[in-house]
Amino acid sequence: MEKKTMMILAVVVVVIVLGGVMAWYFTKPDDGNGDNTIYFTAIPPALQKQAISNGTVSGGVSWEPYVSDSLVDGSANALVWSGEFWPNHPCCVVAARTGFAESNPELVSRMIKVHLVASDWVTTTLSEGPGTENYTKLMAAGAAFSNRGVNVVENATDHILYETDITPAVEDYLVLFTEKFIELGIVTNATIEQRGYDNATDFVSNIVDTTYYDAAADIQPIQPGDDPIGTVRLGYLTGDLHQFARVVAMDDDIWGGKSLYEIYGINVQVDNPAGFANGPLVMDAFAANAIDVGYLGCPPAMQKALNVGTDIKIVALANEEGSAIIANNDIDSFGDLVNRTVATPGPGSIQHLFLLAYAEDNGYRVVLKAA
Amino acid sequence: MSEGKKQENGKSFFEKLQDRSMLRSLFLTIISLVAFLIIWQLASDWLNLAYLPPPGRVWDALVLSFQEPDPILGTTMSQNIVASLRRFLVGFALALIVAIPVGLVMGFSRTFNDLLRPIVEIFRPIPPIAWVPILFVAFSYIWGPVLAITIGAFFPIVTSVSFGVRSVEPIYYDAARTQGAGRMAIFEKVVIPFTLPYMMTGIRIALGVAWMCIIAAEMIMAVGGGIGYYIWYYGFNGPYDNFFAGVIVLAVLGIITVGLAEYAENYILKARGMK
Repeated sequence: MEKKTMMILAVVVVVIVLGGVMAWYFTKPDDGNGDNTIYFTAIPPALQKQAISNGTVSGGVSWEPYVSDSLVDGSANALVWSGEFWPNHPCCVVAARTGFAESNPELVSRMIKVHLVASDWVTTTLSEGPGTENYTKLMAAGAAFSNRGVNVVENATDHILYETDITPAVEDYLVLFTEKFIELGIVTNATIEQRGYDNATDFVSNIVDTTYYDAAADIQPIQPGDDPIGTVRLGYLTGDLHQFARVVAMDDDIWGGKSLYEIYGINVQVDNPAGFANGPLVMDAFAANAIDVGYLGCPPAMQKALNVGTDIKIVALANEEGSAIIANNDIDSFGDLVNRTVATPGPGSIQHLFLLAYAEDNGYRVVLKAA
Repeated sequence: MSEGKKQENGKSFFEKLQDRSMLRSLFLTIISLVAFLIIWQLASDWLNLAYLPPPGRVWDALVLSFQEPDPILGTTMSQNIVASLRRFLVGFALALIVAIPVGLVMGFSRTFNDLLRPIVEIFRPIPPIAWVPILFVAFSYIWGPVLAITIGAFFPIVTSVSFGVRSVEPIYYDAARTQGAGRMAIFEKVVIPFTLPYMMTGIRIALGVAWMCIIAAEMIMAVGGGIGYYIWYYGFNGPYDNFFAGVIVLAVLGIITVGLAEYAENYILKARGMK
């Protein structure tokens, strides 16, 4: 081969390979070091089971059904449930676009009413236990929605409380979460002031609006044959069993051939039936005026209301608890995770916050995994 | 290399600036950038949208991102750049090592072309981002992201190299054959030199495409941080100041690498007397 050509090709290849290798080895980001460091890396919950079982990470923290998916499968064990650390902590919420809620208060109250009736039905059915016809229907609906087996759904629902009321205790948690966001630098005090709030408490009392919830108590089903009262565009997360009430409300079979929304006179329009992949995307759908009411985790709702200024109100609770830190079967306690990597859905999720807060309380620190 | 050409290459950047055409183009570049900034500022003021922060705020976010570790990732922007750059370089080097021989063989041998083309054509239109979860599960956290970049860079190189080989005019083959050159000799003495400019063009395009894949590469598990994850995170979660700061860093990285490739391309073409 012509010498010059060879040389040029060789030099190009060598330079690139050397550059890559050098860059790879030199400059390593802070690798924590110390005997109290746990690493995190962001992996979507749906991939965490695989990542734990093939050894990419030692543990994970995610929402249901992904926690139970690994547990039932036997590839991981639960180290700590979020409810053990933060009893009755809020997780998913029902939010409404402020503009929509102000001009359609009755529709929002009707959406909440449906949410209440469905949540009660879920709680009652779960407490009755296996064997009833309703229980079979509930499990079938959950399995279809989450694309997991009935045993996974059963295990998942054991750790979720389908509470709907935004009690003062729930509000306190929301304030605590907001303060954690500030501590972590996810939200700054300057942003809170810029949005016109004095502090985290002021912000939470503004974003939470229970008037629609209170008005829902008086709402009755419409007469059979009457026209629906209005249309509501609804958004929710893909396969998230925290939002089981929404799945149940939409199930015609459970309510005798009509969805619970139809029974209460709401024409629910779901433009994205597969659901949104994460809470921030539900917030984007609010910002883009693509949905009126949405189910999502409270952290993305509050973070984006602050960081981006998306104008929503949290009008009801969807669930409490229901997240866990899990790890492969060689790891028996949280302390064994030192110098190992835990997958989280990403900074900003409640699961990430739970991991950080739990670690901090127990004297560990959590840093991004280095190469 | 002739003496004259050596002097041409030896000119410093500032000497080249003295050329009128160079000055003119520099002037227009500045006008273009300034106009862009002014339009950006005005649009941001008038529209007052959450997702269109003014350039000043983006600049502040950019400066801060270099000074302090990011609260989300815990890495500074410099560390993110290094993390992405090494993913990029290793991924791109792999693409070169695989794509150049494949492209040469496909262009030179009709048999190999018929064998490989269907496979290349099947996979070419698949966006690299589609492979990301599969690559992650199959190759884990170091090679998964790297391979996403490799896939992006692979196709432009294969296509332009094989096109370059097929563009060799038959008369060159005839000339070589009449002088007794065998198949291997033709490949070495005719095909490779002729293909070099096409290869360089392919590399230049592939560099651009590879940067486009950096978010795909880092959207699942960005070990040690990364500019792609930074943009991905802030694009979803806000504040958008940081998102745009990340975009600017990525743009600069892209311009630098493509600029280097253009320089190498010019240098090689000049050195070989093709320009």
